[in-house]
Formats: sequence, C-alpha cells, structure tokens
Amino acid sequence: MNHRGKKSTLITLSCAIMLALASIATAADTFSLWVRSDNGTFMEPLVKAYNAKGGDQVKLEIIIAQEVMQKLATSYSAGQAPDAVSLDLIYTPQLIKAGMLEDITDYATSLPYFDDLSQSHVTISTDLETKKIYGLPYSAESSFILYNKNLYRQAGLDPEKPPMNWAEFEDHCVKIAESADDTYGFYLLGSNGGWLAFSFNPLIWASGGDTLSADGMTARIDTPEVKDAIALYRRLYQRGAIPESAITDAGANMLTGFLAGKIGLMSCGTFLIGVVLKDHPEIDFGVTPIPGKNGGFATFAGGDVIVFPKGTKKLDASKRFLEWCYSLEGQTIMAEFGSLPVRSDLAAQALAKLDSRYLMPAEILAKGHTPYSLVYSEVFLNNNGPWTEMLNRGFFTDEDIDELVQEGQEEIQRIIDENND
Amino acid sequence: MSTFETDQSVSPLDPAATSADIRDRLKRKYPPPKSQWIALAFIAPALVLVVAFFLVPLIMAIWMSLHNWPLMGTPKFTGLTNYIRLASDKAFLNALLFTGKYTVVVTLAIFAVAFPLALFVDRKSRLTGFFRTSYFLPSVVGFATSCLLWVWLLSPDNGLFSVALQRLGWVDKPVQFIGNFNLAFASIIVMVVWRMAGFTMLLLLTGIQAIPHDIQEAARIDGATAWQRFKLITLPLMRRTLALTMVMSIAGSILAFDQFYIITLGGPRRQTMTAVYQIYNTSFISFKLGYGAAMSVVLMLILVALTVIQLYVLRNKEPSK
Repeated sequence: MNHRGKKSTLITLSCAIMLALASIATAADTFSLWVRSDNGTFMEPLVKAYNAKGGDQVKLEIIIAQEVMQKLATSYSAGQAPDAVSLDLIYTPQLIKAGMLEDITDYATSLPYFDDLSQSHVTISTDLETKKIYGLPYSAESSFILYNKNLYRQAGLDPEKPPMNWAEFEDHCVKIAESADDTYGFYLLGSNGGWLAFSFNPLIWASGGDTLSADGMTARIDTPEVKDAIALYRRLYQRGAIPESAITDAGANMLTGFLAGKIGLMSCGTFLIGVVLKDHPEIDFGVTPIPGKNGGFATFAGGDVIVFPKGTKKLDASKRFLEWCYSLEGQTIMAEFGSLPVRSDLAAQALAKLDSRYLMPAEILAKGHTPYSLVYSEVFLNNNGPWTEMLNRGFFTDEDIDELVQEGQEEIQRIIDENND
Repeated sequence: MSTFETDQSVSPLDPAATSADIRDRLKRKYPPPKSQWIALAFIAPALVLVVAFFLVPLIMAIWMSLHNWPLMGTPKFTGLTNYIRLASDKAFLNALLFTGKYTVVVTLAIFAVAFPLALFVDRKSRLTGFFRTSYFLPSVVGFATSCLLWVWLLSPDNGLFSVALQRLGWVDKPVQFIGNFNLAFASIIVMVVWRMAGFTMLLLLTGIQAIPHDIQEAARIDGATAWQRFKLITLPLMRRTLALTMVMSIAGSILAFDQFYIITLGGPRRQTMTAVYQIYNTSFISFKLGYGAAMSVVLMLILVALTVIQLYVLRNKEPSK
C-alpha cells in the first residue's frame, strides 16, 4: 500500500468513526424487540429500514417460535424482559392474566386509526373483565383456500368458480383426485394442532358453530357443526382425495405436494402465496375464502400483537416505532415481505404494488375469528393434545364421530376447568 | 502409588526394612491431613460443577414440584398434591409403561446386534479396519441429525423406504411407517440400533480385547469349543464392560426423547409418548412447571433405583472358593 492509500484509509476510518459517533448522539433511544422466528422474513427488512433513518434504534431479537413463551417468562422473572414483544396473538390472554404486560388503553384508543385496526387482534388483547387494552395489532395472517387452476382445468372444472359451499368443495376435491393417478384434491397437516385450528376452524365458524365460548370458559366441541366438518374431511379421505402422508404430517411435508402441482386445494395462509409466486411461477393458482356448509365464509385472524412487558423504560421509543409501522411506509414494507396490513384503511394502498391475490385475504381479516383461551397452547397447539387427537381419529379412522366428539368435549372442558381452579 | 514404589529410601524390596519401619518412615514423609486437602483441591472444580449444575437444580426441581407453578404468574405452595395427582395420571403412567417397554426392547436389540459385531471385528483380517469404521460411522452423526435423516427415509410419499418398496412392487400404496403403532415402534428401534450399535460394539470390543490372550489360548489347548470359551471366559471376564454398556443403554433409553419428538411426534395418537416427552409437554406446552417437576423427580427416582439394582447384580463378586 502506498502513502496516499494509507492516508485515504485513515480519512475514511476517521469519517466512519465520526459518523458512528454522530448516529449514537442523535439516536433518541434504543429498545429491544423480540419476534418469533416465523416472522423474521418481514421483521428484518422492516427494522433495517427503521434503523437506517438514524433516529431510535430497534434491537431485534428473533426467537424460535416454540420457545417464545418460555424465554419471555424466564427473562421476565429475571428482570430482563425485552421492551417490546411481537407475540403470537393467541398467547396474549395468558400474559394479561399473569399481569406481565403494560396497560396501554389510553394510548391505544388515542390512535386516530384505532377503529381501523384489526379488531380480532384488539379483542384478544383486551382484558374481558376490566376492558383494559394490553396489546395492539402488529402483523396479520388469515386462513383461506388456495387452489391450483391447472388441476381445475385438468379435472374439467371451471377454474374461475372455486367452491362456495361444502358440497362443491367435496365435489371439486374428489374430481381433481380422480383426474390423474398421482394428484389429490386436498392436503392438510393431520398431526399439527395449531395448523388445524387455523385451517379447520373456519369451516365450523362459517357454518354458525364454534369450538369455544367467547370467554374461552366453555368448550363447544360437541355440536352438529363440528361433527359435520369432521365428517366432511373423513369423506374426502375415504374417497381418496387426501394423500396418506397427511395423517402423520406435522409440517415437514406441508408444501411439498402443492408446490409439485399435485394438490388441488389447500387451506393455508398468505405465506404460501409468496412462496408460489417466488419459486413456482408455473403454478396458476386462485384464492377463495373457506366456505361454510351452505355458503358464507370465515377465517382465522392470526398473526401477532405487540405487547410491552411491565416495567419497560422504553415505552415511548417502542410507541414511536409502532406508529411508524402503522404508517403507509411501514405497512407497505410489511406487506411486501409477507404480513397482511393490520390497518384496514391502508390495506388497499399497502398492497397496491403486490399481486392482486393478496387483497382478498386482507379484506376478510376484518371478519376474522380468533379463539380466546387461557389454555390455547395445551388444547389446540399441542400436537399430542385432545384437539389434534380428536380430529386425526375423526378424519382418518372409522371410529364413531359422535363418541370422538364427546370425548374431545369432556377432555377439553376438563383442561379448561383445571386451569381455572 | 508410583511415589511409593520409586521412593528408594523406603523401598519395600529392602530386605532389612520391616513393614513397621516402612509405615513409620512413610508417615513422616507424607503427613496424611495435608494430602487430603490437596485431594480436595483437585476435585474442587468437579465438585463445584456438580453442586451448581446438579445438586442445586435438583433441589430447585424438588421445591418446584411441591407447588402449582405456572410458567407465568405466581407459584402457589400445594404440598404433595402434584404427586398425588400423578399417581392417577393415566397419560403419565402410559408414558412410563411405554418407556419401560422401549427400554427393554431397544437394549436387547442393541446388544443382539452389537455383541456379534464386536466378536466379528475382533478378528484380524485385512478388512477389519474397514468393518470397524463402517459399523461405527452412524455414531458420529448427531442424534437429532440422524432423526431428521430418518424422518425423510420414513416419509410415505417421498421417502426412500416407501418409494423403494413400491418400485419393487412389494406394496401397492405408500407405507405409513409412523402411521400405526407397531410400524412406528419398529422403525424407531431400527433407527436407534442403526445409530447406537456401532458405539456399543466399540465398548464391547475394548472389553473383549482386555481379556489376556493366554487364557483363551490355554482353553483352546485344553480342547474348549468356541461356545465354551465365549460362555466361560469371554462373558465372565467382560462383566465390567457389560455393566458399563448396560447402564449406559438403559439410562439413555429411559431418558429417550429426541427420536420420538422428531420422528413420531409421540404419535400415532400419543402411543409413543415417553416419560421425558410427557414432562416436556407438561412443562412447555401446558406450562405447568410444578407438575412437570414432580414427574421429573419420579422419573429420577426410578432411574436411580434401576441403576443401583443393575450395578448390584453386575458387581464384581469376591472370588469364592
């Protein structure tokens, strides 16, 4: 290296140091934000864009999805909780009950667009008794049906006419399965409780039933709607429309069949749209809501709420970040990298540059359901729990559905009651 | 020991020195209390580790097991309630039963494969090194990694086994290896034997090779058959090695978790839930840490009892006349 080279390196270095110092000086604050690994795809670009502005700095930590609650609980009891957590919304009631979250009622209701935020997210973040609000919508995902138009054509079906009720749904699945040796009508994760709640519950909701009471204290499993929905999937399986691998799949082969173009319909979330568009442009697909028995539709409003563990000293910085996420800029970045907008008034704008098939999932979110339960993890997410077992036996065996449902009802109610003691 | 032997001034070989003399001189040279402190200093690091990472957590677990201790929220002291509930917890009892069944079957299977392999690779031939390496190779792969490998091997629609069987025309539809209990159980046993037999073989091999050749030689000259030599020389002289491998295999199997968590997910329909899996689910899916701790304590007691029994049965008996 010659003399000039050395000098310029020195100058660059000192400039870099000065810049770094300057950015520290102007940074209003730094706060820590935890996010589950499923959401890393949009959180990383989002936080990068925010940090690049040079104001507050977000220290993003991506936590393995299954470990978020353990880590949060242990760090909280050690007095080292993060300042903000983007939390799978179904866990919020448990954290509220444990008294671990900051009450943000006044702040939330003061947001001018509060009424346009996903109400399912707000409801599950509200204490049922005191009506205080402990979390705000952060990211969103809804469940709906993706269908392969190529296979619709192959089966002689009209690709612009997706199923509007269960009879059509069954008919389409069976016809597609019969159209070729190695194609199937439908795919599901038969051993994944959380995924079943996300994709199977809408059939029940759209038909007027439910699996839990609104306060989560009464199991509503033993109902005609639940039995009918189980019977529907059982018929699909028995008529050869569901491949064998669905029985034991807890997620390992979730997309294999659909991406290979061998599956006609699949109840799924928007992330699948992203995967197909990016890696499998050859699949011509459509989207349609999950229908009820005699028409209508429903969806599971999933995603995250942002919560603030009690005692955080960086609430203001977190709020400034959240408000930026709620801006058109933030919502657009989130949409681009895989989360549906949580502000319905900005949804169309935020999605404007994306594939038009993202719009329907965003629109139905406003009518989404989110089960409210203090034992959601034990009952629904547990792949060895009563919910998964009841459905797996219901779909894939000849056991009496009435008895299965009755057993499931008793077991789930027992878990709810035990937790309530 | 070695200082004693090399110390020339007190050599036991000195014909003039009486044993009392030697003891006397030794005492003067190595005052006992000091050496005890040195010994303590030497084991102190290990002691600290055991206390910090075993005793303290153990006491904490026992303390937790006496509480209703949710992951979030405040623990409530409930005395022995968790243990009383445990006695009638069908899911936990089933998990214990299954764990016992698994332990017996897998230990027998591993020995049935590893012992012949060890005898086989003990022979000297040009390919011995090759065989030893190949049988041991699966043990080099991480346990969780090999489980993931087998998830794919066993996958009905695109895994090796199912597709191969279909191509061969032996079955006409995809095989659900983890779809029913017997197949799932057998698959796991095969997988664990594949993964563990090589390691057990190596341990047994060291035991076999520690047997002095002249004993075998003498027996052969006396006209003992191969079976007699195995039964009357090899087996008895391998008592310590057998005890070690048995204790390791049984303790490992009772704590089995990875293969069931990764491959069968406790299914089909909870039939392959092991005790540790049940503890994991209770603690981290249901968030009942106190109840999970009670299960852990019970499992630990079972494991301690089994190990004590094994070591007693396989202890080195005093030579009896």
